[in-house]
Amino acid sequence: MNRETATSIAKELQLLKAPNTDVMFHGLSMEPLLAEGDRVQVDPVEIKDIVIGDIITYRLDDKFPTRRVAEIKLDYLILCCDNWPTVYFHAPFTEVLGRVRARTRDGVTLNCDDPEWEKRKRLALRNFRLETSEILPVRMKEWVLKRLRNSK
Amino acid sequence: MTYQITADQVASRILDGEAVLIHYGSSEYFSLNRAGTWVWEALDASPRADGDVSKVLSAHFQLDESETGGQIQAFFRELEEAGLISSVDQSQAEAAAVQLDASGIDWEYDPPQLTKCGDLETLILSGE
Repeated sequence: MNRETATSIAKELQLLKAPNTDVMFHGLSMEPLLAEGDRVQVDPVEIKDIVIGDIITYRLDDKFPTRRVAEIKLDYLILCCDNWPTVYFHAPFTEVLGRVRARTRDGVTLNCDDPEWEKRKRLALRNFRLETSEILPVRMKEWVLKRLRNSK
Repeated sequence: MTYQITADQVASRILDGEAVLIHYGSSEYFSLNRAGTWVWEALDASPRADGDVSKVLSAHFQLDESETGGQIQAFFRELEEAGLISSVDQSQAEAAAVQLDASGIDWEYDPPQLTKCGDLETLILSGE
């Protein structure tokens, strides 16, 4: 096994199995709920337990993008970003690693069952639907067709 | 000497017959070759004595047991030094013992090998 593969597997084990592992959020896409430098807790999750509005982490090359579930399809998720309502992503079920349970900022922890978290979820999903109601079905069809072509 | 995996400190995953191990305490991560992974799986099923493992491997590959014994002993020592396994009381081990089975081996013998790959760092979740 090459070092790159071992490192990638080790990071996934660290994310999902290591207790008290130090996980940090990087980027602007999920502000204000998740901001640069926030400490984030991620739990392993079964696909059947994922619901719209969850924030999930998935595998993409050597990175772990972390975004909100906007729709659940047959074998993939459509994901949106709280701070970028016009942008969305796809994550095949096979690449999903875990679900964000809490974030800690300046020593204060906010859990996913907190009313503030719930409020941010509702806002993000509403904005996403408003911004993408026309274009999303067209883009989804294009993406599904592309996947089908690539799988042949 | 009989050993078991230090399960509260270690996580592992096997890909294409080779294992990756992480140690929570030391933050080190490692990989194992095929033979090392076979031994690791055997340890995962039950505590093992290094002598029993070398007997089974020597018989399966028709190797000189004294030579294989030294290799297995060295491998167990390395695992122990890395905190991945610890010695266990013989009677406890016997009570929990699961038969070692070499019938599934489909690879050529190379001495089991533990490779340190690096140290785990702060994990970054991407929000870009």
